[in-house]
Formats: sequence, C-alpha cells, structure tokens
Amino acid sequence: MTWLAPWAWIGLVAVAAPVLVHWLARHQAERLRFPTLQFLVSTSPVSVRRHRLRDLPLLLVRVAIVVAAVAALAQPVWVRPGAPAARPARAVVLDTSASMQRALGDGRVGAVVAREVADALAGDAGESADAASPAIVVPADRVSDGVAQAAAWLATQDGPREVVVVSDFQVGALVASDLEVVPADAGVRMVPIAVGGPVTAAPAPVRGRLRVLAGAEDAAAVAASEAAARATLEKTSGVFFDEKDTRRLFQVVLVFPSAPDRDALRASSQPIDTPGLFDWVADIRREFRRVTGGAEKTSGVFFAKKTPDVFSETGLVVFADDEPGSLDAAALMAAILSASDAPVLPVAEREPDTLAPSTLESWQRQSPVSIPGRSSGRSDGRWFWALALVLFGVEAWMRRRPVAQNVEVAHADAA
Amino acid sequence: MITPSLSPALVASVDDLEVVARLIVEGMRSGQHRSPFHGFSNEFSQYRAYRPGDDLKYLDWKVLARTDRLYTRQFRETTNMSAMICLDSSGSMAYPETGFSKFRYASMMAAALAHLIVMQGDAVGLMTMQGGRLVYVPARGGRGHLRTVLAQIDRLEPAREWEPSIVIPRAADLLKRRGLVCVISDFYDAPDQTRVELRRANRRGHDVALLQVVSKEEVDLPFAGDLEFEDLETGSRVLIDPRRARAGYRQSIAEFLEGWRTGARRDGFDYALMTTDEAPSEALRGFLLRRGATR
Repeated sequence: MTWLAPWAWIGLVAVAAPVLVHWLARHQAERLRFPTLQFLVSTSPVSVRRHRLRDLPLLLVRVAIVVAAVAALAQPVWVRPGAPAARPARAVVLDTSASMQRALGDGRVGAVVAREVADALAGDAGESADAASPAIVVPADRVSDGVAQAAAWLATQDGPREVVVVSDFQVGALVASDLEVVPADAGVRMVPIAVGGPVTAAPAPVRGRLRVLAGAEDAAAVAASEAAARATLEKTSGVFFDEKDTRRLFQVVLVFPSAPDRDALRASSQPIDTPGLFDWVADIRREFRRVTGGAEKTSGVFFAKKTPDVFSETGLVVFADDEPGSLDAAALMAAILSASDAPVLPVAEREPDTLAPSTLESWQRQSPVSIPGRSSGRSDGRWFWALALVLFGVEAWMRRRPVAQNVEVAHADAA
Repeated sequence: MITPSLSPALVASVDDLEVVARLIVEGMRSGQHRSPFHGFSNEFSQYRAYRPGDDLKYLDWKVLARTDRLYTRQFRETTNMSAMICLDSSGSMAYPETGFSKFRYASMMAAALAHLIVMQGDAVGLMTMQGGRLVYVPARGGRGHLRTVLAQIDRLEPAREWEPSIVIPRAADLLKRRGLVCVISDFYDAPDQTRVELRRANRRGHDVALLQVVSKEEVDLPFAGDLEFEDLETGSRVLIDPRRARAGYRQSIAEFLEGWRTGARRDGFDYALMTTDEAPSEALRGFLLRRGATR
C-alpha cells in the first residue's frame, strides 16, 4: 500500500482529542438517583480518581475513528506487486503569441525558455516506461485553441493523461471555460513563464527605416544566407518558423530581390511601426490588386525570403524582384509607408497583464500519479471512510448505552 | 373491591391465610384472638353442651357442681383487633424510579394486609405523611372503610418528607385500644429515633410488626462505570466508582439490615425483610406464616 498524501498522517495528533476527553471529562459520569448515600459515603475510598481514562472500549472506538479518517485523508492506494508503472500521456500547449517575445529577468527571451520547458516536459513523458504514454507539444498563438487541440488529442489516449500549458498567461489568453474541453479525469498543469521585459523579437524593423534593395546580388545574398538567417532569427527573437506559417516572415521582412531603382526607394523610405505593419501590408496588397487589376503575381513577393541583416540593421529591408510589377509594388509600398505614420505605442501600454497565480492554481487538477499495478491514480481512501462511518455508528451505540446495561454487565461479572 | 393497589392475583394468593394476632390484642374473634382482658367488654350470651376440645376456662364449674353436667359459656363478641399501618412515603421509597418501585411494593403490601384484616372482621387504619402533613385514616372495620383506606394508599406519592418520630407515636396514640402497629418502610430515616418510638409503642401494649422493603440493587450495588449518585431525599450527590465501593457498601448495608433484624427480635417485634424482586404474594405469605408460627 502506498499513500498519495502521506503528509496527512500529521493528523494523527487528533488522536489526543478523544484521549483528553476521556481523561478529563469527569462531569460526564451518568447520574443515578439512589435511595440513600449513607452507605456509599461511609465506604472508603469511594470517589473516582479525577483524572483517569474512562470507558476504555468507547475510547478505543473513538481513536479508531480518528485513525481511519486520517488514513483516508492520506489517500491510500493498494498496488499489485510487480506491475509496471504507467505514466500519463502529456499534451504540452506552448504559447507562441507575440507577448512571449518579451524577456525574462535574466535577459532570455520568454519564448525560448517556454520552448525549452515544453520540450523538457514532453521529453519526460516520452521517457516513460510505458510506451503507450506519448507526449506532444502543441504550439499555438491562442492558448485556448491550443488547449482544445490538446484535449482532442488526449481524448484519443488511454490511461492517465494530462495537459500542461506553458505560457505567460496574459489576461484573456485563457479562461476557465476553455478548460472544460479537457477530459474530467485528465490532469491540468499551468507552467507560467514570467516574462516581463520589452518585446525583443522585432525591435529593429519596428522602429527602423524603410530600405529597399534591388538587383541580382541581393537575391543571391538572400538565398545563400537563408539558413543562417533563420537560425539567427530564432536565437535572437524567439520566433520559430513554421514552413506552413508564413505570417511571421511578414513581421520581419519584405523582399523585392530585383528592384532597379533602390536608391529612389531608399530615399523615400520612412519609419514604420510593427503593430501597424500587417495592416500596412494588407493595404499594400489591396492597393496592388487595385493597381494591377487583381493580378496575383506580385503577391508572391511578399512571401519571399529572409535576409541575415534584417535585424542587424535598424531598418526594414524591402526587396523587389525583376518582375514588372515588383518595382511598382515596392515603390508603391514605400510611398504608402512614407505617406502615413503608424502609431508608435509605448511598450508599457502594449505589455499585457498576466493572470494571478491563485487563478492558475485553481484551474489546476492533480495529475494522475503513475503507480505500479494501477491503471488510474485514484486512491482507495473510500474504504477507510466507510470504516470510519461504521465505527461512528458503533460509537453512537456505545454512547447511548443505558446504566441498566451496566447493571447487567455487573451481574454477569458477579456470576 | 379491587383497586390498583390490590391486584386480584395478590388477593387470591393470600386469601387463605389468617392474620394471627398476638397476645396483647384487646379483641378476640372466633377463638382466633386471645384477649388479655377476660370478661371485659364481653357480654354473656348462652350455655351450650361441652364438647371435647373446648377451653376449660369457659367451663361453668358451678353448673357442673349443681347438675353434674358439663356446659360451656358463650359470649357475644363486642370487640376485635385494631391495626394501624404506618406506610413510609419518603423519597427513598421511590427507588427505582422506573419500573417497580419500593413504594409501589410497600403500597401493595399495605393494601393486602388491610384487606386481610378487614375480611376477618378486624379494624384497620392508616398513618403516614404526605407533603409535610400527617395523613390519618382511623382504624375501623367494614368493606366501606377498607375502600377508604385503599383509596388513600393509592393517592400517596413518595416525597421527601416522612418523619417516623412523628408518624409512629401518633399511630400508637390514636389506636384507642391495644392493637397492631405495622410499619412498612426501608427504615433509612432516623433509625435510632424510630427504634425508640417503636419500643415506646410496644410498651403501651401494641403489637409491633416491621416490614422492611429494599430493592435488589440497594443490597448488591451491581452497577458498573463511574456514576454520580444522587440522594433521593436530600438531593446531595457523590461521584462513585461502584466497582471499588461495592465490597464496602455491601458490608455496610448488610450490617444495617442485620441490625434491624436482631433489634426487632430483641424487642419482640415481628420483622420481615422484603426485596422488590421477590413476588409480593410469596413475601406476604412468608411473613404471615412466620408470624403465625411464633404466636
């Protein structure tokens, strides 16, 4: 037998309560109206001792009730010897939202730390002795969506299972109702990443100057340094690239590899701000469609490549290719960007509030513990509760014993 | 004439017994009572032929001398025995408070005695105390009076007040002739004074009978576990471990009961110890048989 909450055995100090009651409760002696006391008081000694244990059987029953209740609180679990341990299937929801790009106290980027934590958690589950207990990492910009995906995955798993959410837990990123999709018998853990610094992922393009590069040498340079650019970007910004998710590329760079008149574009470049970048790009695309009559050929340039010096300079690099519309597009975008100033928001205003630790704790559920010989982590404390209930009934019966019964007992003793 | 104090079973069980009066009873009834006052209060009625077995003191020797015939004188009965029952109604008699109490037992005994005495033509009265006041029913005969006595017994409730030093001398005083003073009690109250008053009544010529009623639990103290004993009369309390006190208690109460038994024998009283677990009919039968055997 093992105990899920062995600290509950501290409750055994409560055994002292019934002992003290039986030791000190002199006034609880039953009263018997008797014809005369002259023969009782003349007998010496007759008075009971003031402090001594009274009604030992009743005391033993009461002590047993306390012990049974404490044992139940300690959550006993009967195990089958020799059976392998089962670890929970674990789905790790990794918050990849923009707020995770902020730094921790030690200067590291929150997203990087979160990634490491998520990998470690997934690795723990993966090292389980039970091969049927896998783990996955679910990256998600919206934590609630990630939880839903994780819950769907857990629904396909057997045995103990749990969801671990790694996030900075901005207010509004996750609400209690989002956790309702998690299976009732699955554990829920919240791993907060204490980001607090300014966003470090894209400071350079945010406040840089628009710079347009053109020509074949730029395209070649982009192609050669693509891998290094990705690595550098991931390392420095915590932005992780997914081949299917190209939106992040928009956040950092627009490339027109062969724009002919880059000097003109460079001359007309203006500062832009990251929060408005996507809107600007959307406006640019709409404007392209309007100018080109709905041609999609220019749209491809917006999905073009990265460059290693994107973040090494304090400027947004815009490349244009040789296609006829590219120069126009670059020029148009530069014109649009230069025509309007995007609002520059202070970092403090953009920094979100995070959920209170007590809230996160209230959302957590105990993870099923892997116990050899058990398919689930539930305790067998109910048997001790049942025992305590039975003992309570016995105690009530013994407490209501009439004096007449004592008389019968005494008669039996005399016989 | 059946009342709650006199159950049919009790009457049926003792109806074949006769109350045997003692020497110093004034009246005589059908040869069963020997009067200490020959010729007093007796009125000559007639002669009848002597029959073997007749008391020779009633043989008329003058007629024998004159006629050489044996005649026995017969008298008209004018007196009988008067009995006064003193019933203890103190609080101690209320034990046990649930079930068959000592007072109930004593009441049945008193009723049975009254019934027997009246049925054989004698007079019976009642003296007790209730609410601090004496309750007195004069000694008379007749079924109507018996009903009065029984009704009075039935109305009694055990209370704290019962002073034998008042009840017993008043009972002896109010018996106009020498008769029977029967005290039914546990004799816990003022035992020394009670003995003095009983001897005084005996010296006045009354026959004295004592029925001491106790319960089995009083004698054995069979309780277990700590108990707070409360005196039914004084209300005082004491916390006792009966197991430890049992031996000493039994010795004390045994000495108390033996003291009453030997004291009654020494003073010439009839005495019977009755416990409430004993069948009332058997207890009364035993008492009357012992009384008859000693007279």
